[in-house]
Amino acid sequence: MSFDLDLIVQALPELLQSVLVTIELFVLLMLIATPISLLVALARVSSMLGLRCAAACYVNGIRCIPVLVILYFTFYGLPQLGLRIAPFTAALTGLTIGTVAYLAEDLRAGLTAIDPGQFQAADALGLGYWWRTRRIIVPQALPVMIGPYFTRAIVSLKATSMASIVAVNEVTGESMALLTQTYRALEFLTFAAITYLTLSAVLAFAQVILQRKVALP
Amino acid sequence: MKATLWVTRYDARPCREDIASRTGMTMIELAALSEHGAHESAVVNVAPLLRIKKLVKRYGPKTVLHGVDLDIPAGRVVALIGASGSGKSTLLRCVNYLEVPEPGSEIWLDGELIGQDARSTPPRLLQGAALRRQRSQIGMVFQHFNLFPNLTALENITEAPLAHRRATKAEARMQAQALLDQVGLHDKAASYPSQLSGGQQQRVAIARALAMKPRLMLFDEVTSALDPELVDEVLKVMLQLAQDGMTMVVVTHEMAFAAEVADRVVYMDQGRIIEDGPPGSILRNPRHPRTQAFLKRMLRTG
Ligand SMILES: Nc1ncnc2c1ncn2[C@@H]1O[C@H](COP(=O)(O)OP(=O)(O)OP(=O)(O)O)[C@@H](O)[C@H]1O
Ligand SMILES: [Mg+2]
Repeated sequence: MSFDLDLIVQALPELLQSVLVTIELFVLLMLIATPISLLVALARVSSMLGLRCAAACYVNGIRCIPVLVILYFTFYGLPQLGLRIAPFTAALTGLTIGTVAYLAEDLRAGLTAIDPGQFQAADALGLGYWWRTRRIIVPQALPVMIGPYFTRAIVSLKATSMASIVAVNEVTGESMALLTQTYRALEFLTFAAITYLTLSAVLAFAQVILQRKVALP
Repeated sequence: MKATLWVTRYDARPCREDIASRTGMTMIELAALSEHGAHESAVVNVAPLLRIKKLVKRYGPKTVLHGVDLDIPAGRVVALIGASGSGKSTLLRCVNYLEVPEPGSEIWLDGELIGQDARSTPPRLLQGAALRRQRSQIGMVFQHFNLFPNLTALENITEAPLAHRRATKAEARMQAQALLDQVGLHDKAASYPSQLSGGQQQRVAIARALAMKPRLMLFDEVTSALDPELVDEVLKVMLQLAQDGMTMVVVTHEMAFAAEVADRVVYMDQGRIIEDGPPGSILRNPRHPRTQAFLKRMLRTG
C-alpha cells in the first residue's frame, strides 16, 4: 500500500466543492465577525461603563466555553428552541460567536496602543465620536491590529474544520467521508492538510500586502 | 466695539438679562453696577472674552484647582506660569471641558457658559453636538503637537471644518492652504507629520487649531518639546497671532516671550493664582516669595 494519487483525482469534484464550502464559510465568518469584533473592541474601551461591562462579560464568558460546545449549541440547541436553521448557518453562527470574543481582544490591543494625545486633540477640535473613530483612531490602530488580526484569521480558518462535526461538508468533513468510504486515510487527509496550508499561505501573503498598505507614513 | 457689533446684530439695546447671560454676572451685580452710574451696555464693553469663575477641579481626594477666578478681555495675551504640578494644564483643559470641573465652576466665553446648559438648574453638563460646537470656538495647542500622523499637514487642518460641516472640501483646502502660508509652511501641505521637524509640526498644529476660527487660543507649553533652535519659529507665529488681536492663554516657561508678548502674567501655585499683573512688575519685581523663588529657578535653568 502506498500513496495513491488516483484516489484524489477521482474524488476531485467533491473535494474541490468542499474547498469552496470551506472558503465560503471562512470568508463569511470573517466578513461578519470583523465589524462586530471592532464594535465590541470599541465598547471595551468606551467611556460608558455599561457598554464596557457588557462587552467584557461577553468576551470573558465566551472565551471560557469551547468553540465546539458553542457549535453544538447552535446546531442542536437552537432547533430545540424552535429555530430551524441549516447546518451551514448553524456552523457560521457558532463560529462567529466564538471568533468575535477572541478577535475583539486582538483589536482592542490596537486601540489601546494609541497615544491619548490623539483623543485629546480630536476632542479639543470638537470632532464627534464616530468621526474621531473612523478618521483618526482606527486608521492609526490598523498597523498595530493587522498582525494579530491575521493570526486570528488563520486560527479561525482552521476552526472551520469543526463545522464537519455539525454536518457541513467542508474540506475536513468531505475528507472524512471519503476516508470512511474508501478506507484510505493518507490521501484525503493530505489533501485536507494541503488545502489549509495553501489557504493560510494566501492569508499570510495578504497580510504582508495589507501591512504595507496601512502602515503610517 | 463688541457691544456695538452685538447691538447692531440684534438691532436692539441689550436688556439686563442678556447682559447677565453674556457676562456671567448675576442680576444683582449688574443692578449694583447700574446704581453706581455705569450704563448697562457699557458693561458689555468691558465684559471679558473669557471669564473663569470659582473653578475647582479635583482628582479623587486631591484638589488641583482651588476656586480659580480669571478674566481675560478680548485681544489680550495672558502668560500662565508656575511650577510643575501647579495646575496650569488642568486649568487650560477645564476651559474647553476636556476635563470636567467640579459643580459650581463656571467658564464663560463671550457671554456663553461653556460645558453646561445655563438654562437648567442646576446646570446640566453639555454633551454631544452642543459641546463640540463650543469646543470648536476654542483652539488648543499641545506640548507634543498631537498631530494626526495618518493625515497630511493639509488634512490635519481641514479635518475640523469638514467634521463640523463648516466648509466644502474645496473651501476647506483653500483655507487650510492659506493657514499653512500664514505659519510659513506653504510647501508642506502634502507632508505627513513624521516628515516634518518639531517646529514645523507645531506650526501645523497651530494652523489646525486656527481652522475653526476660534475666539480663544490655549497654548500648553508648546515649545517645551522642541529643540532650542526650533523654538523661535513657533514663537514668531504666536507673536504674529497676538499682534493680529487673538485672545490667548499661554502656559510657558519662555520668560522672554512672556515679557515681550504677554499683556499680563499670571503666576499659579498649588492650584491658586497668587500673582497677576503686567509682565514688567511680575517678572522683575515679584511680590510673593514663591514667585520670587520660582523666577530665580527659571533664570538659573534658562
Ligand atoms: N488625570 C489626572 N489624574 C490624577 N491627577 C492628575 C491628573 N492630571 C493632573 N493631575 C495632577 O494634578 C496636578 C496638576 O497637574 P497639571 O498637569 O495641571 O500641572 P502643570 O502645572 O501643568 O504641570 P507641568 O508644568 O508639569 O505641566 C498634578 O499634581 C498632577 O499630578
Ligand atoms: Mg502642564
